[in-house]
Amino acid sequence: MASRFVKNFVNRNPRNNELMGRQAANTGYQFEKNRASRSYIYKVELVEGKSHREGRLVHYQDGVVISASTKEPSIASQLYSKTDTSAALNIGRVLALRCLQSGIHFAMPGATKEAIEKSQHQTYFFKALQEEGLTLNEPSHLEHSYETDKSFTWKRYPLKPTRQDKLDEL
Amino acid sequence: MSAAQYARLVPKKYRSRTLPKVDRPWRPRVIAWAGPAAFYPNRFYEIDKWYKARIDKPEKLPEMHIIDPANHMKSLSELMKNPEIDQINIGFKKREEVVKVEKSAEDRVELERKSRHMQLKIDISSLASENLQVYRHFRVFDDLFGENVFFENVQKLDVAFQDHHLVHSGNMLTAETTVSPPEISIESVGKGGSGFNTILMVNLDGNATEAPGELIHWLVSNIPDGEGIQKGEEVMKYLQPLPFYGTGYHRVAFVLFRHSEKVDFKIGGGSSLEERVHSISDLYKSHESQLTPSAIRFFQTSYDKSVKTALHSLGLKSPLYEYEYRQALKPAQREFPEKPQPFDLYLDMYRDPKEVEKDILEKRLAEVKLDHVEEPEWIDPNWVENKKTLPAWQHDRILERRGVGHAKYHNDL
Repeated sequence: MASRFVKNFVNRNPRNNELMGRQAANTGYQFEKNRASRSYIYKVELVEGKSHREGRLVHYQDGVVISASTKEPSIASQLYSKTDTSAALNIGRVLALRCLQSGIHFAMPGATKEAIEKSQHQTYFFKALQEEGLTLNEPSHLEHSYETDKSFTWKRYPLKPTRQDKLDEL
Repeated sequence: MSAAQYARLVPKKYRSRTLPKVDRPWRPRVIAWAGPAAFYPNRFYEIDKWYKARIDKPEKLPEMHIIDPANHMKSLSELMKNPEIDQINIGFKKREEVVKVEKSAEDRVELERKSRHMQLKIDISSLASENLQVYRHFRVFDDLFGENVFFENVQKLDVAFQDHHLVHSGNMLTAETTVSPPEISIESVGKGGSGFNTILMVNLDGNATEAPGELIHWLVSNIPDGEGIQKGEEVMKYLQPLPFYGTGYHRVAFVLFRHSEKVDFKIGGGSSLEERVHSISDLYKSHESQLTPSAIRFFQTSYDKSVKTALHSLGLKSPLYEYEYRQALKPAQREFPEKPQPFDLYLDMYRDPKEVEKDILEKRLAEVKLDHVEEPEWIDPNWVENKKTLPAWQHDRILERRGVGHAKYHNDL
């Protein structure tokens, strides 16, 4: 018996659009000092606490999704100190493995380049992430255009403000 | 008449000592300056005693939107956070793990030395991590058992395709690796070999029929505790996951249930796709008193050639799906748009896509032959001439090599 497939198939996977590259990352708020800091789907960050190091994977909507911390006894038992650079490095390795095991291969670094260069802990943390196979960059999303959707036959054009619109700036 | 004109006409001796008061008409001047509304008996909707020269109707602003700080103490991130709802645990209590390793003095010295030289690499493969947040992130529990429900992973479950492709919590596996059933090892937790396990493999996104529910790929029930799954009853035979073409990534979950007596699931062993579709939450609900979920793993997979082969072997055609975008936003078309618009692009925006498609095809057939579709080496050989003679927008269309312009030479007929 031939099976009838539905005409409109709905994939309920909430991560599907992100994986297929259709989801655009946020662009940040207009008057923010560093708008790029909010432009991510996933970001990884190292939280340097007083007595612990915690690596986190943060999703732009769902918040912290995966974390690895020296608070976990199975990690802490293998370390010399919970706060040294070596702890930060190993937390990076664990976090990267957990991300890959959850199908997350791309994430933005959650710290600026200067902050990473300034801190040994951050440097080793992000280096370990990369060495374990996590890419510290996100591919840009596919624009909705004629290439992706055949019914989009027109072209977007920028509308520049006229003198009349900018009277209060003169 | 001005004073100078008057002085020219009248000789000096006949002039009066003071200039005559000329009645200059002031009304037209005021009207010219302030508009005719200045002399209307009722200048405003609400009469008030404003300065008369104020001519236009005062702009009426809507009432101020008052923000009471007492109601707006929360930060934006707090406001945007989803409210937390108490979730119901339908499984077992979380297992307490005791990791107490006493480090000896020599060990500590060695650890210190390695750590100082950044050579301390801990063993990351054996770390147990049961992170339910990932399952919530992928809405696995919600789509299996309904909203606000979860359970802890309390039984060790290893699922391996082709020996080394392990299933974790959402990792990517190609459809090709899942062609044959996986090796499954289940930890024995019953005392004295009592109790049973049931393993269920289900595609949460693979239902392409009208009936609601999920696609069951494999169901092996009544596996005695501590035994391999060969000792269980295969209620539903293994079928490889079928992520159809163009539907993206499907979540395929392995759910382990624990029960003390044998369970009859009462679902036919039919192997067609329709007969495999069952609502997992209903299935669980009907056996709720016996079954308790104890472990879950899932992976994500997408289309490749093996899916097509599998569908053909079932006597089905491989359906081709295409993502349907939400229509791009555009303003309603107006005869006189509020702002000046580039007329060609503005009119293009409201053309019927089918008409445009037809246009492209006609152009294409006019310029090239069906069997010889090749982009010319030079976009516009007559550029200089065209630049002089053609209007800019028409010339732009010739130069267009993206979007619709691209389709002229790169489009499957």
